[in-house]
Amino acid sequence: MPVDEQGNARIRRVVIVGGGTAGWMTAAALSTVLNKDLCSIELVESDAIGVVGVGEATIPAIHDFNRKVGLDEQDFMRNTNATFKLGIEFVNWGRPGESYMHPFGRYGFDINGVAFHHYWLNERARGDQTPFDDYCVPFVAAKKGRFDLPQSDPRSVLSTYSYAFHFDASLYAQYLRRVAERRGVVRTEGRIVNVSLRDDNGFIESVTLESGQKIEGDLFIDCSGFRALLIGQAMGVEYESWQHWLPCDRAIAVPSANPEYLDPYTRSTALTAGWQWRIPLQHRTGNGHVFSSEYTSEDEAGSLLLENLERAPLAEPRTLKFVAGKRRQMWSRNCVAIGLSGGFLEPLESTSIYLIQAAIMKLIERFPDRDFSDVDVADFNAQIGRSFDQVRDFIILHYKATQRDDSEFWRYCRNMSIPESLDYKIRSFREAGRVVYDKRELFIETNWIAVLLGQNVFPESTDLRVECTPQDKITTQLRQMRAMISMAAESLPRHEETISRYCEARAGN
Amino acid sequence: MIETDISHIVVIGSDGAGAAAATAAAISLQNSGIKVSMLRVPKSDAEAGVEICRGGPAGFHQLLGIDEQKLIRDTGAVISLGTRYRGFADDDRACFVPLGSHGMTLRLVDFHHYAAKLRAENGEDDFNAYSLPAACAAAGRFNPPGDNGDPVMKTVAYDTHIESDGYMQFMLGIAVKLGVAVIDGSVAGANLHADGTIRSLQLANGQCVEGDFFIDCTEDRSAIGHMDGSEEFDDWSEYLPCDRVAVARTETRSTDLFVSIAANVTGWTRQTSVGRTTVETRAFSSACGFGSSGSEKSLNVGSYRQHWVRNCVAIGSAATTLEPMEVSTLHLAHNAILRLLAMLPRHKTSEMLAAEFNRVAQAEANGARDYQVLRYALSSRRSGSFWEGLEDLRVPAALQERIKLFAAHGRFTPWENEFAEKSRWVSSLINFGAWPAAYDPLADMIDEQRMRGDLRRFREAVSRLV
Repeated sequence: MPVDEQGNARIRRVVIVGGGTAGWMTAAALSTVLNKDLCSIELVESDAIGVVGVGEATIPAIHDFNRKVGLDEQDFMRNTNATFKLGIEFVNWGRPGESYMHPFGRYGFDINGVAFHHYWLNERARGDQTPFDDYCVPFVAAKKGRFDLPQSDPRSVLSTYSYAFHFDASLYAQYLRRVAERRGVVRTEGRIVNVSLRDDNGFIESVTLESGQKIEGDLFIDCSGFRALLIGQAMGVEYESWQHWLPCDRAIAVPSANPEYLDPYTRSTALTAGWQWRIPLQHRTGNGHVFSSEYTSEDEAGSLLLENLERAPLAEPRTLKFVAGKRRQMWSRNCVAIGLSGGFLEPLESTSIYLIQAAIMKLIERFPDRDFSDVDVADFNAQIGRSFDQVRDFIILHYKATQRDDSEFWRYCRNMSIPESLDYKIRSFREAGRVVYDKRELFIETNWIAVLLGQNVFPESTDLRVECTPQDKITTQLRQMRAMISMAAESLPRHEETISRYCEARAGN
Repeated sequence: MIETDISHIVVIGSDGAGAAAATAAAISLQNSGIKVSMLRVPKSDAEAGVEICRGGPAGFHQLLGIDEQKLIRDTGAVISLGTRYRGFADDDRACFVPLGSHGMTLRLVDFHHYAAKLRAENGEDDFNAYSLPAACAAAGRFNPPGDNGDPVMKTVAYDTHIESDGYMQFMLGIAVKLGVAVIDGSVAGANLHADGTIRSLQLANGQCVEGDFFIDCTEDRSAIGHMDGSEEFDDWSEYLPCDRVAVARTETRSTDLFVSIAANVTGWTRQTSVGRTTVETRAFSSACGFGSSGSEKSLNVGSYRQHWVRNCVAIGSAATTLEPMEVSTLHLAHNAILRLLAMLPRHKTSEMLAAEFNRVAQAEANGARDYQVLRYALSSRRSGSFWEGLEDLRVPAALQERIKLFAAHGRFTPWENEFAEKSRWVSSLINFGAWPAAYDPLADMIDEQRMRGDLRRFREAVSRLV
């Protein structure tokens, strides 16, 4: 075990390579738990290298990260042009012309300990046409363009939802940079030209900049994006492709002018060989077309994107290439890959920032000594690998559970084989309306149900116990729920009002 | 009209698990038109024991809306805050494993890392000074917590000890009010349909009990034992050495708010108190023990592979048998009943539901077994024939890994569907002496004074709240 004069093997120098969202999130989080007198944090980035700026839309898990890092929500929102998000609307996914929402909140109320969707399914079987979404506060509020912070009193129907943000990811990175630098993180400008490994054990010893400067460290964090400078190029850890399940491999992104009203939700519209996102920020709307280059050309994809814009574009479209998948190990020796260097999943469920956050929190939980215990490394790889697999399954579901038959792309997706873990989930839901999930997963019962029902996967039967409540009583209760939810949503201020009261962006962001 | 081919559920049982299953089914299926019957079969042993189950808001009774206070009053149940082990180490010191959790998380680092740090630096090794349940047990004072918002109160968890007969009576009282028919008899055989499902149970008195779905809670598996494909059994006797138990009771009233387990030459004895009596459960290995004066019976530790077979589900001692140490049969039965209620099939058989039920049940049983084996694995006692034999005891590989990892670095990763939550594992590991040799390096990064201040305040809150 490497020890110093005091007999101590603690990490003394952390080097973060790359300064995008992943790099600065990592720097900010580590600076809250590492004592700068005992362990320095240095972040190397080059202004000459562009930042991908993954995911401008987030999920509610981000509150946990922001709280742990100690961000002030209003201040952070003002500085990142942030808006509120109540869920994701999926248009044309099940069949063309249909839409549903994956909201950040629960549907209806359990009756006698039985989950609400079982009651809804029974009503539906009896001919009731009320959409499932009508029983969900964030859906109803989102479609009315209304938003306010949820209430804390659990008796209020306005406590049954959560929220996330749409923000400018590069401004978020800059904001976190200020936090990290205040806490002693040192930023070094420069392009890395060489990575030196130790002869004896293959650990990274140092990185060398174009200027000739050599930066040594005990722990290296690879936030260099798709280039995977350390984990891929220097350590040679392989990448596992999931393209056969997730054929999309390109995204074209373009900002456009804002419409009059800002919807408090993300929209994802399925197109002939992929899908298009729409993310409203305070100063502009983010748009992008994710597609498979095997089923459409870049030119076609680009024109389709521009055709679909609601307002004028504000910049030239940019194209990104990617392969869905993950690094076989995201932690190898003294190198941890966080962000795109570790893996990539398309932003269909806004999980990019979440996966960064999960890796950071796991690294903190398993923070090593210089002897880098195998079990810490193995546990990190197992858990973060599993997080990627679970999010992957959830995204594949959107493609697999489609009834679209109008293009080669959708026919491929409908008929492709899927991971056994996902197949088990779908079969279990089809059988009796039950969702099998591990309580430690990100996506739990309500998330799966939103997409399954939203894309017309209906169970063959429901929980037997729904029949214990007399029919007329259920009908009455469901009617009351709808009325209560609609009234509560109606009582909320408009999204724009809440923004201007709570977090209006500073001019010049 | 209900769309199901199940109109009659029959629970077969002789103890608390059966009564709990019948009552829970009756509560859940109120007004459904589905009939629930309880076939009460005679107990195999004359001496009824004590049933232990989890109390509080996450416990079975409160989840089903059963008044726990009334249950405690009517049955003379006693609350327990942990288990005191004596004689498991060669130096004969006792250790106390409290329920609930210790201390609090500071700056994203679990409390036990700070405890390990204080021990390494100043030799402080009183882990339980940071446990409110341990302090309450020591003081002999405890009132089930209401939610007063105090974060230290949230670290409390407790079990309830209930006399088996009294519990059965109490639960069946509720069941009968809900229309459950109680039939007394013993099972002589089963009549099966062509597809292997049970059609009816043949009783010794000639009566025949028909049903669509059966829940077997009997020790001798009187219903499920008649089905093909139900026999596969994982024998755990290589991990758990006791193969005999004897129950005796004395009319002495103890006011202890905990379970006592004392090691002796041939095994160990568990003492629990209920009402006015103290119940002694002696577990030992016949290889090194003598017969006992009480009613002695054999104990075949292990778990059946398939808990759910076609239209019959085994619950409680029909499914899994462990030594009566810290994991109680009733606690496992309660968990299984709640799982089953959420998975009740509409048709007599469902391979999908059965497979999922069995997957979770096996994971839980294995975790519970490991949680128990931990006590032997960490015992340093080698005096007495029983304890000498521990030298040859096998420890499941996954458990060995977990102990090694915790003892080296203080790391512990919970599994899916685990019987004991992380805090309970950590409490057991440390109190049985598996202090981590190294702790989370981040525990060194926190401001020392602030950390000590936070820990002092926690200890003060514990003494204030006792």
